Amino acid sequence: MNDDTIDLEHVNKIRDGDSAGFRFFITKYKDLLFTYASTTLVDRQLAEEAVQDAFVNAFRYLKSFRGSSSFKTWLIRILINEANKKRKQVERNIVLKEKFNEDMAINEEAPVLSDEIETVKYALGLMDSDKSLALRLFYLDEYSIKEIAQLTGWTIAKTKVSLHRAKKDIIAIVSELQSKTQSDGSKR
Amino acid sequence: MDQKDREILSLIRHTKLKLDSEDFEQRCMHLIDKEAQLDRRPSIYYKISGWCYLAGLAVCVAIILLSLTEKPDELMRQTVLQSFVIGAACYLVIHVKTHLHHLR
Repeated sequence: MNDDTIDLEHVNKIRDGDSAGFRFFITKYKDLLFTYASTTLVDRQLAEEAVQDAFVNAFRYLKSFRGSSSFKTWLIRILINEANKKRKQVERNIVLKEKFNEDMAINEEAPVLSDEIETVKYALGLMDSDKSLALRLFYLDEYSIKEIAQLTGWTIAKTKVSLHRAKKDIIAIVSELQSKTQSDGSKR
Repeated sequence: MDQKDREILSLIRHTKLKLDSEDFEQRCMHLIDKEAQLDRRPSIYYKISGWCYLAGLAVCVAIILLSLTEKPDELMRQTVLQSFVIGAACYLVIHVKTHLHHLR
């Protein structure tokens, strides 16, 4: 039995009145949704709120889930909408934070990152949120360009461009961070 | 794109973050329980209103039957009109209440 079938079984149970069964989805998808929320919302608490609202909305509108996509894809779409809504609410703060992040990218005080995965995580945090989201959807969940376009509401052309630029950006940022870590190491 | 670039991109699949707030699941389930209760409540209202509607209908039928025998026409018309007004008001109140529950 694959993941989608298991999810669908739980959806049917919840529709039949077993609301406690929704805990299954919370346990299963909270980390993934939090990862995507964090690409759009820099503030950890806001990202957590977006995940919480996404789960509640998913429960509220479960009747409208027709199964044309997997439950996970449907959930991610709700999360992206929630995160975008929250981002608009705090747009000014986000702009300030992004400027802060840009400064950090060239700042001498940027943390020394020894682990490769930590470096990539850090680089994703420094990037423009749309690019970071495109990269994670493509590599973390292996969604196709068409699926990413459906999930985010972008056009296919915008998705392709975002992904292409995002790949170039992350390689540049990671290389810069790695060379900085190496030069810091050799100074010591 | 060389091998090193591809390695960097492949690392993205290991960048899943962890939502480790202790009570996150608990908080979500609390909200979902509340939502489930709100979902159930309107259906109770609808059931009650349904029974009220049927009872009202039975009263109307009884009045019509009675009026065929000896009650005056005016009294019958007024009673039917009042039943409709009360029924419509009940329906509106229930509808607004349901809407407010969902908005909350």
